Amino acid sequence: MTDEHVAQLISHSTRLNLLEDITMPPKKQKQNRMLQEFIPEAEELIDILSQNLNQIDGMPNKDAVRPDTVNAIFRAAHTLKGMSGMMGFNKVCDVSHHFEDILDKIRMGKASFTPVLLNLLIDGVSLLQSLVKAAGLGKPGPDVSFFEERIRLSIAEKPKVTEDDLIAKLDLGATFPNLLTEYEQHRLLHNIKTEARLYEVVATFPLETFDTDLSALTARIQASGTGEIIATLPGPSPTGGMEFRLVVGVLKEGEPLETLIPPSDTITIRVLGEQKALAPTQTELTSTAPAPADSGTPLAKVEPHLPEAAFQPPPSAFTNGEAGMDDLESIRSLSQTVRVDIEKLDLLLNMVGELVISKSQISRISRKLLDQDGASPLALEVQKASKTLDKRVTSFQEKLVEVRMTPIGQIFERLVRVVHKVSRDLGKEVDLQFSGEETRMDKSMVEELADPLLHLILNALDHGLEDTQKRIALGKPATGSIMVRASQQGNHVVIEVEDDGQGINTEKIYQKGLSKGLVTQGKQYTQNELIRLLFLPGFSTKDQVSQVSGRGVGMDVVAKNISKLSGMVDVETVLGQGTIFTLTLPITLVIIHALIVKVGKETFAIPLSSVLESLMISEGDIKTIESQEIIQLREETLMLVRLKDLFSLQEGEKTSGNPYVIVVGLAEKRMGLVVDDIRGQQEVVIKSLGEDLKNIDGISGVTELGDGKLILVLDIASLIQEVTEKREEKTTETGARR
Amino acid sequence: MKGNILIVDDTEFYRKVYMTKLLSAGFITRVATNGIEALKSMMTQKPDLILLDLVMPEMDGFKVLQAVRASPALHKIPVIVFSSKGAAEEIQKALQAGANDFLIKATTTPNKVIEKIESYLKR
Repeated sequence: MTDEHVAQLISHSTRLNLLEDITMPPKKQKQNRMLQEFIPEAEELIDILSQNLNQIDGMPNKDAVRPDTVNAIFRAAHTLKGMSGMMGFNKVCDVSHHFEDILDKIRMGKASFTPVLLNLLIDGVSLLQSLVKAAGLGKPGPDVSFFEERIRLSIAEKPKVTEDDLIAKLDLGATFPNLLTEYEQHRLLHNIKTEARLYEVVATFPLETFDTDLSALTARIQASGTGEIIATLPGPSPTGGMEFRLVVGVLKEGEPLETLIPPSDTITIRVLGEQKALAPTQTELTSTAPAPADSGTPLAKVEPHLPEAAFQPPPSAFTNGEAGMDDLESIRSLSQTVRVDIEKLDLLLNMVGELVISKSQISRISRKLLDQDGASPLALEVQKASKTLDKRVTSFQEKLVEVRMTPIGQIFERLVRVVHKVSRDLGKEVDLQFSGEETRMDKSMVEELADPLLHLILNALDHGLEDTQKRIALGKPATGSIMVRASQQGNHVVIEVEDDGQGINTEKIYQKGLSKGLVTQGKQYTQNELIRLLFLPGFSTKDQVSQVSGRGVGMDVVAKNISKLSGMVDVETVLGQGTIFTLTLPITLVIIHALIVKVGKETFAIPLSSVLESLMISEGDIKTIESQEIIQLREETLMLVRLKDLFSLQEGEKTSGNPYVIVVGLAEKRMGLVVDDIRGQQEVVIKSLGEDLKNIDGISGVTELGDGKLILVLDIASLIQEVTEKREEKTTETGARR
Repeated sequence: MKGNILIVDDTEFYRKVYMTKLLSAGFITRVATNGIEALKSMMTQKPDLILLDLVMPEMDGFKVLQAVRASPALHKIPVIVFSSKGAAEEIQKALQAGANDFLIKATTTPNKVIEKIESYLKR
């Protein structure tokens, strides 16, 4: 009943009001962003389902499936259900709900993996795959009613056995049993029935280390192979630390827990329940069978009795979704035919920029008024009007930014023409392929990207790909391949240019660097450092200056243009196999959401698109390793950068509170910026610094806050680059190999 | 800043969506991926509100909730349970364990969640 209730709840309300803020047209962009997060996550979950189910399918004894495995599949289905429900993908939600339902029954011991059920689930996985794919393309996807019908026919609920009194006999106290999840209850009962010895372990750990102490304790119990941690209940300890009550089951042939974990000041062990209370079950069980686990319980396995034919999907069921594809393509090409002069858009955007500033002024006045007058009618009225203005300006701005978005495929077409001409001139055969043409970014960025992208492709063609004869000699396909992939990742667009050529020979770069006096003989350089030399003006490794890119103006132009766009270039190369250049760029540069932070007396804006997390730390959390400050953040070491030191700022008035760390990231790189205070989040319009100050590292522009004050906007990409380079220099100095 | 929110969820998708949303709305956020991490996090820095998932590995949300309510230092922190589960008995169980509110993931929009959070912080 409850499950049906949930299903009903989800299917009804999701259809009605899911994410009003992301499904409405003006916020289409946000929805895309969420979709970008959703699709890979959903695919990963489906992979978990598929791998585990196929593994179970291959097992001769389905009863030997580990509870962990069932649990993992259950959790994946459960998460997928929630996520797809939130995104409004009702079919994915419904199907994963059925998965969750069945797997829950299995993990509770109310059903088991029969061949028929496994087949059904494995079919369901491919159904989920096509549904998620369809969702990503904005199509309805295959029909699921048939699958649901199969599920309904194959599952019949068995009466639940109430065994609360068995648990009550354990004498766990009043609160603990109520906090057990149904699964934990099931494991507890299973342990009671299999005559496992049950213990309550009470462990007290200090506040600073309780997480590692607890995981050490649980690891020790689990490592024995005979102990199972059924439930863990945390609570404050009367002595000031953290107290954990663990219910532990140990197989009857296993070592007693007391020998595994010697009781101490901090750990006490109590045997749960009276052995006498279990005695009747015990004799009954030992007299019957060697595997007595299920003998006392009427838990029947689910065996559906259905003709085989009922389990074959009609061939049409999976093809329905594909039919709509062509219609969709034609709609898209229609919607691209509006032509607007980019100058007009720029003008409009400037005006919106001014509006945004006025808007912040008004909201500041409104706040002032509230502070002065308290909740007077006038103050409240101004606040309301200011909020409405805020909403309208924001949606205006979003729409305008969206209008400026252009599919990146526009420049791809131009690239093809140039590349074909050049490849003919060079006498190299090349297969140039594109993907992700539909990825959208600001029109001005797309234009700015054309040159660097052309340079990268020509570079791959000229330096990367070998001559046709050499390729044949090496056993490579005669035609070289260059792949250009664009994709949106959160607020960034990632463009990769990959060739299957000879890779970058860093030894050659080193020699060239020596002759140009850019490297010092005898000094050790990392591969990355040497590759970075390629981006210096006037650097080219081609022995003979060729017509195309050998003039050595290409790569430094690439690096400069990309960093002008607040982007980043990464290079991955394998000698003899090829090179991938990766460009990571923000979607738009004009209006950004920024976190306003205070460092000393200065205020800075940090683009929110690069912010992963913000936290307060105490100075004691900061450790120094090899003169680099770091903090430990969830198992990972995070490099810290003090903006105060980086920009040599004066100390402000001593702030009473602890410093904040803003965790920023771009591509795979992470870094923590230490700031004194976080002032809030705001939309800002970035303005250029002017010619003289254009090339300051770490700053991408200025912006005006509502109060008329100008503040600097941090350029996270160049900051990360600078800091990682400095770091590499340091490691090289301390003796890394070239 | 409006307040310090601890987001406890084992699914990266939710952590990301809500962190971005909350940051945009002017909150400071911390995240934890399971119950133990959550406890550790709130011991080092007391949050103003906890957005708590129920089904998680290592330690589930009910246990965390119980520990928060039992702790003299933390027991006043508002906890909004934010779960994929939504059966009546789950809701009852969470409320009994001391949750201030119960939101079901599939039927609650991010804006609703933020509204709720703001309403609890005003009190």
